[in-house]
Amino acid sequence: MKKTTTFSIKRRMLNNGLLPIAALCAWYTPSFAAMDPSRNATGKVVTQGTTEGLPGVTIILTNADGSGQQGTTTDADGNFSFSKLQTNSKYNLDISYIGYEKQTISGYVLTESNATSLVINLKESASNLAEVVVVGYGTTSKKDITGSVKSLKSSEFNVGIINSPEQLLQGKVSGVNITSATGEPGGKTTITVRGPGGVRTGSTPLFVVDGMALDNSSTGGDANPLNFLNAQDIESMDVLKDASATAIYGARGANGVIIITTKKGKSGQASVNYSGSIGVSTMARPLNVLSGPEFLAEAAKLGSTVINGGADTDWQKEISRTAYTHNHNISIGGGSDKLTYYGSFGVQKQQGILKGSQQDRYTGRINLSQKLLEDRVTLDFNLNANNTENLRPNNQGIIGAALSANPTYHPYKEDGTPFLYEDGTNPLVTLNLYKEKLVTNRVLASISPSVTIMKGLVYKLNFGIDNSTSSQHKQSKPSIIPSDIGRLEDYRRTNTNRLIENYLTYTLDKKNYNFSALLGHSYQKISLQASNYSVNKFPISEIEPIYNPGLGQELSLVLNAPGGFATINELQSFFSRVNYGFKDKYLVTATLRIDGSSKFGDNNKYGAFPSFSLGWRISEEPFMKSGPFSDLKLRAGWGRTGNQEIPSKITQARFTSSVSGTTSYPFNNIYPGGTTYSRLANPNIQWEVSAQTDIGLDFGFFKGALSGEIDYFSKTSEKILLEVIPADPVQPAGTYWTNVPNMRIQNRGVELDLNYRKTLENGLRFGLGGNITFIKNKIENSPYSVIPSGSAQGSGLTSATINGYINNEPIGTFYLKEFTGYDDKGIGTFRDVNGDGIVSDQDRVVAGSALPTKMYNFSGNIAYKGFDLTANFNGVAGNKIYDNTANSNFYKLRLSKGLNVTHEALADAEESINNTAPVSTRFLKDAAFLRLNNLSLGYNLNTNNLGINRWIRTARISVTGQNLFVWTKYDGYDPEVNNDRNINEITSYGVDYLSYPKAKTVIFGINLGF
Amino acid sequence: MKKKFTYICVAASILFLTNACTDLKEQVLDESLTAKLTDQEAANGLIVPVYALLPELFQHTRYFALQEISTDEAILPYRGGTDWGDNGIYLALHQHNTSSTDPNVNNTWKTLTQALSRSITAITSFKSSNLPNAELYTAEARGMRAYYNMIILDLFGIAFIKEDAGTTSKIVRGDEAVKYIESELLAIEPVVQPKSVMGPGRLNQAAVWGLLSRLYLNATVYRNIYATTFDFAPADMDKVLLYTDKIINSGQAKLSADYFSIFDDDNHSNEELIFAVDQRADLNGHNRLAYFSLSGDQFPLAEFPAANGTDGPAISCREFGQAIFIRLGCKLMAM
Repeated sequence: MKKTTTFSIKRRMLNNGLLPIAALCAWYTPSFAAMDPSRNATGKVVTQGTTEGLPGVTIILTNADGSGQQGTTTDADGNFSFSKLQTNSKYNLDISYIGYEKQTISGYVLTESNATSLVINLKESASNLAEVVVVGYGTTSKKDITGSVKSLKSSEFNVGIINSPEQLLQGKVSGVNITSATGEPGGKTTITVRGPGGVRTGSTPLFVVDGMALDNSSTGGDANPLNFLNAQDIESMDVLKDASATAIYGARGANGVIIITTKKGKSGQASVNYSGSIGVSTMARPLNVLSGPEFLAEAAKLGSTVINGGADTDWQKEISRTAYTHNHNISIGGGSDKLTYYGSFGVQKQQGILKGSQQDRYTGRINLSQKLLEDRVTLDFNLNANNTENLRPNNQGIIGAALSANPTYHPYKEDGTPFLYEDGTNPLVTLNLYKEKLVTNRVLASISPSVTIMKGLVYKLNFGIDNSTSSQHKQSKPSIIPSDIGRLEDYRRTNTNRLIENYLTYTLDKKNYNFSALLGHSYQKISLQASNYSVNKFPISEIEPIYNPGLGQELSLVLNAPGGFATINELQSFFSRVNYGFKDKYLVTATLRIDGSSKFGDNNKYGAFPSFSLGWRISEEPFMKSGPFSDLKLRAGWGRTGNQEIPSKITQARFTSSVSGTTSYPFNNIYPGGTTYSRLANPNIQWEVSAQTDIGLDFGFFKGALSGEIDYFSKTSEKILLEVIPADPVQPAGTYWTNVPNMRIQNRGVELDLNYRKTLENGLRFGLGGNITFIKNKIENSPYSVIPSGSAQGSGLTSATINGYINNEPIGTFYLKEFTGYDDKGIGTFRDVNGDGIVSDQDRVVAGSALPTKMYNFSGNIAYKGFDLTANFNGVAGNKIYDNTANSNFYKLRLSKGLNVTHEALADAEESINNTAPVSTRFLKDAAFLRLNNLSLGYNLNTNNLGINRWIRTARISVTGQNLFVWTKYDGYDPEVNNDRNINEITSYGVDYLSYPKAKTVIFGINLGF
Repeated sequence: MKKKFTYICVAASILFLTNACTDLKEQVLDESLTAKLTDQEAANGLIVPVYALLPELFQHTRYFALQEISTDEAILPYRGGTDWGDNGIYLALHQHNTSSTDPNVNNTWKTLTQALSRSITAITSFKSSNLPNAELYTAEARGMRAYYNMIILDLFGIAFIKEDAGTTSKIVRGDEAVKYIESELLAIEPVVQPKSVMGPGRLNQAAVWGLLSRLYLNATVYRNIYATTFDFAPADMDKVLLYTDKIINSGQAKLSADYFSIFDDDNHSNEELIFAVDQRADLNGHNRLAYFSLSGDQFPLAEFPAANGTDGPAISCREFGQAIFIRLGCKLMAM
């Protein structure tokens, strides 16, 4: 039997410098003779308690002085080897693997006898209790936290083509609803934490990137402002959910806070990583419109004469394509004792599945950390630079035309140019004539020195700047058929966000208790500036207007009035937090933030936002020591936060002199500037207030194999800000802004997270995780019978609204006429609710809500030898969606007019071809779905066996499927969608109108570590 | 409280070398919250907004739609899934089933009340003005206030009495409203000048006479719109004749040589129009009424190729003209 040497060393012991003598003495031979000849060393990594080798484990070996670093990963059987080592020299080893406790072996002395028999027992991390959780202005450990915070590390993120960081989180955090508004590359995503707390837009959580609080304003176009972050630079995302966690961000905490921490270098481990992938995307669920022969047959059944163009064209296919996404990312990380560095460069070139749609993104990052003055001063520096170019066609135009175009028309003429038909516009013509190009440059830089003034007392300064500039061009090329004189629109935008923060942290660790306190001041200034110009009438030529606006021949104040705006918003805050823990059992946290904003009225400049929370680690009590719980903690917290995302300048009256369409009038042939009030002052305007109570239980069984948490929360938002109509209608401005007294928005719910992880004797590892959220939203005491939102779109639907904010009903409620079928003439009938004999808007009913009442997600992973397989599912239930696409396109009359429809339009035999399709419950559909968000299979190559480990430390290949399947009753492109159809900034929910279809993608990836 | 924060902040600045103290006074960069103008500019600046909403009021989806689509003078049917469904609002309007959510009703109401408010702001401001023409401008603003009130009375059955922007309006109905509008128009009649002095598109002497005759013509109905029978008093009718005769005899307006020129885009100076809404496209004008009723392949304005006809309503041609402009003689009666 081969003699083996075993390490089983707890990390804490190493940190204390206490090496377990028993473990050491087996191979320790104190012989410091002259240089021995170089030799190889081999060994094996196994899961503790088994003999099964662990593949893919990273091992970094350095000389005891930190020089001569080598790295390797274990092969499929857990074996590893190092070359060119000297016996009787001391080495340090760092062994790390996801899901296992990191192990460090210091001062390992290589001998002839142990050089081929090194066995490392890696221990599965029993629980995540020691896991670092980032909270506002500091970090803590999972076991000490008293609020509801979910920390997600990069290894847990969703995989696939990621445009913005929210996608990494989708389905991973209970209580957080992430909806991509569109399938367009770089399109917007809506994210709400524990339900919406306001009626206006602006319920996006606060994002904090490495200490820099971002402004959620648009950076231009319809692009997601968070596109500028490279997902591969992100180390962790921490979601602060309840008020006791978010109150440290005061007037910006009401919508939840998401803290993004980017990757930092680690001393002693210089590494270069390359990852590359190619993704192949196709339209996931094309709509089932009639084919050419079906179109002719169905039209004939209706007795309609339609043009037979003689072809069978799938117009959705004509406007779409198999799209390719290339991604390359190189990162460099490492450092010495005093300086650590991380740098990365990323390129993502993504084609959209619609022709003419593309997003190219370049990102660069440098993160540095330098220690100075005997380590009393640490200087952190972060720099992120990004350039994104986004091209888009007239999305809705081409989708709408493709869905309703006569499928018997040929797409192209014989000469290859798009066929021109008389009763409509070929979407391929629109594709050629219209284009939008958005270029955004964004730089985020911050420097934060911290100074240890005395033991336990640290002063930190955080200075950051986030600057983005964008230019967007929208061009319509001139054409004869269809007649268009050509137009170029030019939009510019600059967003600047400056932050300076000073804070002191004091920590005291005693035997029986620990205490920490934070005190700070923050000042932030956000300026936005935008302008737009346009020019008309371009000559028909090869030159695109975008490249030579000077060719434009016409400018008039009516058609080319320039526009723009500029605002400055200042925030000043004072904040404090106190933590006290007694015997590691009883935990108390209290925070207070006082926030002032220039947006608030003179009578309400500052608001105070307190919070309190308690934690009781029951598992630490003596009476629980013998119980099944490896961890059991009860948490309870209450806090008050605000939403300061209110429009600028609304506290002040606007009295302005201008020459414009609604203020001036011709006096003979001159146009004097008209002096008008366009807004009334209200110095009482303040932030919206949100109070939230959270009670939670964290638990772990079977030595942490099964862990989870359950939370109950109740969030009440008050002082809802609305633009309302004054009592006396004869007012200079038709509306004014006010915080509506007594109106409340309630969000109540229960969240449950469960995770199970197990390694079998044979080395098979698997994990199962899931979460479910039950949430109920309700509006109370609204003085308005209905606040409308969700304006319908499409021919025949102008002026109709879809959503209504109604007392005792949830936000996102559909308020519609109830469709009851057809009368004897085949004309649609609706329920006459008030019985007055007339069906009008007075007969609308509450017909469900777009907010899901249940959100559930589950994931599984399994790994064996070098292979690993991961699947992530997410789903919602209890919500509905308004199919505005069908409402304006798919009903019988349309087919009788020669426009294509889906089979849905022909479903009701009794419907007359003269029937109109007003907005009603006829087009309200179930939006519940379950999605296989991503499925990934990876294999870690054994670089050792391949003989390439001298150049390539680690190698991994993977194939990932994204959005492979959706289980839903919804027959539109995708049930997870929300076209923004707000009315006067009142948010709309669950409206699908010609949405950019979602893609199904397969991604082939490779990762190399050098 | 604010002061205390400033102290803390200053102390913090000294301690931490921060330059981040602020009083959080909102800086406004893109709007002027006060206007600095010469007296004449100020006067023009106050009187033009009184008229500025007229083109909006006479858009096809505002006053015109409410007046015409609701009668047999015009219909706006559903055009088969490609146009003018508008979720049934025009069908409801024609069938008199309009509800309070109708956007055309709401927008007409908002335009009228805002125009009324602008007249009041102007009247209030001219009280303290030293301008030589302040009296004339005040008369114009009062006349326009009476005109807007008359439309509100006609559409909604009420009128607002409000003398100062800071006070709350008094709502009057029926005879009280008629008397109020009458008294206002009579008060300014001697002050306003003929069209030749005022220029086109502004309230003038003949326009005031026209408005008075229209008020007397309809007064019986305004006094009690729900009456079972209407007894048009001879005294009212005599006044209609009196004021229409004044227009005819004054020579301030005469029939257009070319009938169709009164529908031109630049018809503001047409002699037949007593009080024209200036609808030139330079700033905010539009010939929406022309394109509203045209077929889809026709273009009323050469400069706006996108504004082709809408295949919209079917409108009786005669009424089309009358609805927009106060015209001469007996046609005035239909206003």
